[in-house]
Amino acid sequence: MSVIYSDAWYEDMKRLINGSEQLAKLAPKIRIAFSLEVMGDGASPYVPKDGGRYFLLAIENGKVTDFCPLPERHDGKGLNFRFTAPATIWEGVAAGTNDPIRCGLRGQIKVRGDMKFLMENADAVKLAIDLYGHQVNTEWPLGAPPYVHA
Amino acid sequence: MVATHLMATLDTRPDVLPVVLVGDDQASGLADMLRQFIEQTLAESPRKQRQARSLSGATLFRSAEDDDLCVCITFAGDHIELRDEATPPVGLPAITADFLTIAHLTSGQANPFWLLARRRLQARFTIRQVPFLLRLLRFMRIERHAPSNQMETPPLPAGPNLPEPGEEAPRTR
Repeated sequence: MSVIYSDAWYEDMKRLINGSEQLAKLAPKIRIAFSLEVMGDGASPYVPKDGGRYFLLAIENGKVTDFCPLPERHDGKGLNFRFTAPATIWEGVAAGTNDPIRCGLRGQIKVRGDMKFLMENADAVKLAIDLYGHQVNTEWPLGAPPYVHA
Repeated sequence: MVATHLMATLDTRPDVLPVVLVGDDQASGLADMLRQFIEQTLAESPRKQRQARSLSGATLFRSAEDDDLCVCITFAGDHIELRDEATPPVGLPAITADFLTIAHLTSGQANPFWLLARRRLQARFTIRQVPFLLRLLRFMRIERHAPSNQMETPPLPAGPNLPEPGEEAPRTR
């Protein structure tokens, strides 16, 4: 069990994805870089209300090569996808209380990138986000979502 | 009805068919992703442009994951409009499927008739709407640039500058 957004948590996530043989088979063999943007919304105790947390997730040959926090918003260079959502939504996904597909379809998670690529690799995407949402044992020292004021 | 918030494609090349998303930032993710998908499809293929210009009609896309989500796509010849419909218009053909099914359909990994037979794809239409629906499905299907026996996904070029949400969709191929 690791604390949300801690170094150990990033490593746990990385190990989790890299441990999936199915994802290794399904994922494209090329390098894909994602930026995940967690925007403060006043409800999450882990992200300042007017701030944000930014991550880089890079997958190559079906394995995570990078999953790390960024000091600021990614400038887009070398990036294939950008996923942006309020902290409450992301943390709900991490806690397994929000369905990420439904959040994406509703627009709670904004997706920018090559939609054709997303469609062609939808099975891998679905598997990766299912792993993210349902299998990490995250510790929430300041309280777990859903938040009272969300 | 006149739309109060419109977000048209920023690709202003005269030969590119405009794609209009009604509702701007208030639009659903389904509508927004369909908009990006159609824009990117049109930008990359003159053949898809011709197909889209020749289409005339509207259809409803419904999400199997969320009953509240319904997007109306209208092909008007000189533009394509996407609009969330809280109360879907009666009489339009409708397609209902989950995210994976839509992905398999558009990427050519599954045949629409196979999906219909297994009820993974549900469609409501009249006989007169069949030609339009078939042409729409053909337009939505991703073109294969690689030989059909090449299983590996073509590489995305490095360094696309992704825009802010609401700006022009990236061209990654």
